[in-house]
Amino acid sequence: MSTTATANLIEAKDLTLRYGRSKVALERASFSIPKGRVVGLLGHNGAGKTSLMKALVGLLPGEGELSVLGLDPRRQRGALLEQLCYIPDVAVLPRWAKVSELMTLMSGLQPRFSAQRARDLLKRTSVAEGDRVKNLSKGMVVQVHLALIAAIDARLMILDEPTLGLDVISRKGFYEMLIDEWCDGERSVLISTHQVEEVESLLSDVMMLDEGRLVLNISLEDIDQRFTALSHDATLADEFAAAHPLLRYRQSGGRSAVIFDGAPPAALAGMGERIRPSLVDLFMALTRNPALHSKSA
Amino acid sequence: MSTRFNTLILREWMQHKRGWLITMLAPPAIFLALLPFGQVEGISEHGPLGVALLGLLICTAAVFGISYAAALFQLPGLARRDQQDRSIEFWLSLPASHSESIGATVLMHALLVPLAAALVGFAFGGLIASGLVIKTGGLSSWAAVPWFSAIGIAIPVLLRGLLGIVLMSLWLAPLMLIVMTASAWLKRWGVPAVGIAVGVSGLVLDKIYGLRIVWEVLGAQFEGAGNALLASPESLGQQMQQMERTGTPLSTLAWAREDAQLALQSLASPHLIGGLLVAAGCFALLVYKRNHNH
Repeated sequence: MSTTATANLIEAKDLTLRYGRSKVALERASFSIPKGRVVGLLGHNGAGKTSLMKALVGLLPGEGELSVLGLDPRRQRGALLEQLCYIPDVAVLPRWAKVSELMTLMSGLQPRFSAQRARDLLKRTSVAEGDRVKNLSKGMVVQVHLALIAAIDARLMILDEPTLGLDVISRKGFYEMLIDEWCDGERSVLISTHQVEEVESLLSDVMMLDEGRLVLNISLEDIDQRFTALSHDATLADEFAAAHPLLRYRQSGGRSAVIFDGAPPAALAGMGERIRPSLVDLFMALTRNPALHSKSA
Repeated sequence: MSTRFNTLILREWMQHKRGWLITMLAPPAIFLALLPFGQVEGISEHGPLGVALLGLLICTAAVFGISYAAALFQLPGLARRDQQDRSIEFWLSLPASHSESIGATVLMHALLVPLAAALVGFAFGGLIASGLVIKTGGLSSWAAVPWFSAIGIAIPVLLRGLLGIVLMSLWLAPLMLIVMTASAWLKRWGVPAVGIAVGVSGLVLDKIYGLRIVWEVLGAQFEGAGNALLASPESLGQQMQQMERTGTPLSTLAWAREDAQLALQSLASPHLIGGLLVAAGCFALLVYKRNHNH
């Protein structure tokens, strides 16, 4: 599908990803990502996040329809990679290389890479151009990789656990750089992370995977409209439990809370105080819940 | 060549330059360091010009030979390079095709670096030749050598050698790519597996069925490679002996032209064409493996 016809940078329909004949990494996922969005891809280990990202950049074949920037990721992988930037795993920079050498190589391989921009971004870190990757700490390697990738003038950024190994200050610095300097309303970011609370304020949309199924694909604005979280006194726990909420959990101060997909039973609505469901709570509610295995997003 | 391919070639230089430079520079450096203390035998019967030419050509051949042997030793491992430290994922995230990446690696290691080694050996050959001449005949012998003529005699031989390296690589391409492909699939068992498969199949076909096809094919490839590098070494030797007898500096240009023609004519061989088809098939398998490696 051409992106001239739609504003979607990624279009997937019934996308299924397999390893061999028996292992299904992703099953019949359908979603689209328009431009100007910051999409969080959440899921437990083994949920299919990395497989999905690999499929988006043409490294994993799939069944169904998939279009990224109007291109077929498998057949037009070279052209696609010129227009997006991808961090597969933050510890994969070649250890023999100096930072300056990586810049030289990326200048030659990635037409949209700006060495000057990379230098400017590198100045925010404690890494010098003459440093060799093998002599850097894990966090420094992450910072270098992020600086290199963010120096690519791409329309789509795909980040697989980009902040693993970074301390909290560096993580915040990366998020600030992402929002301030990269997201301009035309570009989109797809970021998978386990640090759900940290990224929640950055995200415009969220996709949740659970054991290869897309269980949620929603904008953060629509979360409040779809899901209802009620805070209630702990003594009312049995009444709320009888209504089969998605999730029941404890809050601070001795209170309890429940999350419903949709409106709660009328009898219970007045017995609790409506609160905003956090992404973490939604994540807990929608993933690894046996009662939800037959539900779709 | 595209910018991307050139950059991939540059990558190889950046990653391996230290080892390559050591392989090329250490042998002549060690020889020069030991020369004042050692004995030189077997060449004193040649005149100063003959010693100089021998020094020049032997240094070139030795540096090339050591570098080529090192490259052949490394080639199988290149098929799985970047896997251990997972940097393959970094390279796969950049817009370079699998065939470009593999092609740059093979071209650099199997051809460009050996060519460079020959040139480095030739460059150092002057020093080695000077050292040998002084060692065998003293400074007066060194002064008696017409060095410009010596260089003029050696250059056509060098150029013939450079062409020979290119043609030899064509003959050896199937063998190199077979072991690379085997290593890509079987990892450290790749080379032994190829050796065992070739050996067992050759012996079975030979001893049980009376078919020597495996040995004949291998022999044809190695013979072709040898002829590609130097088709008629005996005629070069004869010319050098004549030069020493008559004292007239020989013209190697005609010999180089004739020898090159012989090498080029031998390219019209079903063995070479079949070998190149096998090499192309192995290259495709390497691309397939890299494409499905995740």
